[in-house]
Amino acid sequence: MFTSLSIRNFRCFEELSFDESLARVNLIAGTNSVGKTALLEAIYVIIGMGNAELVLRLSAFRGAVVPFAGEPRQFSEFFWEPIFHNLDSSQDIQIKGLHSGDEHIARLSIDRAPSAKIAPYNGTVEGDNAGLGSVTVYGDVLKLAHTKPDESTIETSMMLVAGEGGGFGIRMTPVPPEPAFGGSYLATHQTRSLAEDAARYTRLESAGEPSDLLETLRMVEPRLERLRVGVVAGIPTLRGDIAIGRMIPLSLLGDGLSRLASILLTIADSPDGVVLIDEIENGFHHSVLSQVWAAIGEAARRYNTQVFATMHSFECIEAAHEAFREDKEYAFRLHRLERIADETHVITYDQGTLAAALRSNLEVR
Amino acid sequence: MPSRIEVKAPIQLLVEGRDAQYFFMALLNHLNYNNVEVQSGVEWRGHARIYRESPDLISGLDLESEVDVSDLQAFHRVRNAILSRLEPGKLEVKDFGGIRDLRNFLSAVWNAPSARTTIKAIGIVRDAERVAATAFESAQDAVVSIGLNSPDSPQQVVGTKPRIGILILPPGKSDGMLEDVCLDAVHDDPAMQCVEEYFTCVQESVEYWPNRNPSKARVQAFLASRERPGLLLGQAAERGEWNWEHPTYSPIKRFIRDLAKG
Repeated sequence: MFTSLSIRNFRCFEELSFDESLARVNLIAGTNSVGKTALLEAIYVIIGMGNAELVLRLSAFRGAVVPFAGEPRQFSEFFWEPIFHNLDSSQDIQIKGLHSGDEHIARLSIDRAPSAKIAPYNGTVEGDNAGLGSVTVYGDVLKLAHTKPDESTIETSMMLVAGEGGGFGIRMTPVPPEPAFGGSYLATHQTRSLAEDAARYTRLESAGEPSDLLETLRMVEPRLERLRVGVVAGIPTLRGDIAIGRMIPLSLLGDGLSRLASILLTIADSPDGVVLIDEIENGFHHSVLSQVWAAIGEAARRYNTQVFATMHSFECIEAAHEAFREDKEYAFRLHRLERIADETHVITYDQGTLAAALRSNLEVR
Repeated sequence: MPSRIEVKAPIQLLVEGRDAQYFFMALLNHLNYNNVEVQSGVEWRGHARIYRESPDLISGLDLESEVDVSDLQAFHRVRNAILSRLEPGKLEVKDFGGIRDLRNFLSAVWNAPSARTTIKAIGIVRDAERVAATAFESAQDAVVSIGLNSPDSPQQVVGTKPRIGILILPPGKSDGMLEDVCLDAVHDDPAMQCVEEYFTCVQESVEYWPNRNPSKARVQAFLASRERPGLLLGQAAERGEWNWEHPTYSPIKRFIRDLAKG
């Protein structure tokens, strides 16, 4: 579990830090454009432990897709530069986190192409540990260096390449080792993967775990009698039985049901890891939010998973506090990101402060 | 669902209990903070008078034409609707609840959205109760616990960003409460002689008198002698039952003015 985090020069953050204020379940509030999603993205980069390819996914998580027109500069402008504060890639990004007492540091930098004009050739890569052949590198190269607690460093690069047969591709080299702990990002704009949920369910079922999941999902869909993985249109899909004679894919039983299943399965599939959830309240009726939080809290505790979630609604905060307040350790913190004098600050509510604010109807978002 | 209470005014006066909140709102009205610092004035005046005097404030709002002040739900609905139409004032009075709630309430105010850029001064007002020094220290502890600088003595306003002051009631006394301030101010009122005789009579007439708060009881007895009986201390303040010109209120007024300076 991360107990502290600091971020420098990433997206809208020139500097941002959480000093020993993180809990098992962290809810991130703040006005639009203050950096809630950017915070999740920064955590996503550091939990990748040297996997530069994760940076490529960030724009997809935000729902932005740009068809590549073969211009290397366009590639750099779209994928690399936006992750740097003020789009200024001359300053490296640093994301530092203390996880279970161990310090991890991720540094992102750009290796500039010698010429950004006509022939932005940037050297060659002589094959990598995946056995791929030599390629020519075009444009800027994104470099990620992850320093582990033993002070060894994993370094990977993402680049635009052209093989001998022509045509562009994106390559990460070398392939990084498996991260020390798991992590997942449930984005707002990204379509949930039916196959991924089905695979997670199957892994849990093999371990004899999913009975609680069914119970929990019943609070959103009381008719649910059982869950099964089946193949629908060639895709493994988690389906539910609501006693109509056929199993129905969860995605067709409502957004709240399938989203809750996704969240809980992702937590269960990230033991000792980190799960990042953007706009967590989407799809849930306010009347079930407390139970949703209780289920998330229980799953996070059971699998020793840390959760970071963003949201906008007051009801969501009230429900989370309600769900955790009987918890002996109150494994929950509300953090609000706020711009003060051109800097982003974290304002953290402990249990007493949040209880007082909610009791007095004081604004907290 | 009522709208959330926001921190909009640069000066936040945090007082102990709803009665104290209304008392200080009325005092701020008297000090002519009510036009610029509208929130305090409107909060307490959120009953029928608002409708008659300020029809423009309520036009288009789906509100009853008359709201009884005893109907708290209706009162707050009116108040919040009106407040949402007004520019933020300079001074807001907030009720922090009981003394055990002070630390967390203060923290919640200081943590509120934009509070750290909006708030220039925070005043904390609480009763001395049995020992004024202990009451002051507990307020100091609350201030320090959220990382702010506390004054070294009551009524002193110190620091910058924000300035902080702590007022223990009655000012300068070793024990007591807000009720004692009001009783001191009406000490020479002819009705007070009757009040004292009444309590003497009660004490002599009943075998067991369980009253643990004689100051509150005396305030109630005094207010029973006024034009409209049954008011609480704060409601009486709004109706002008307390003589703000009495010297006993001077240290309180000075504290508010010190907070509002700068």
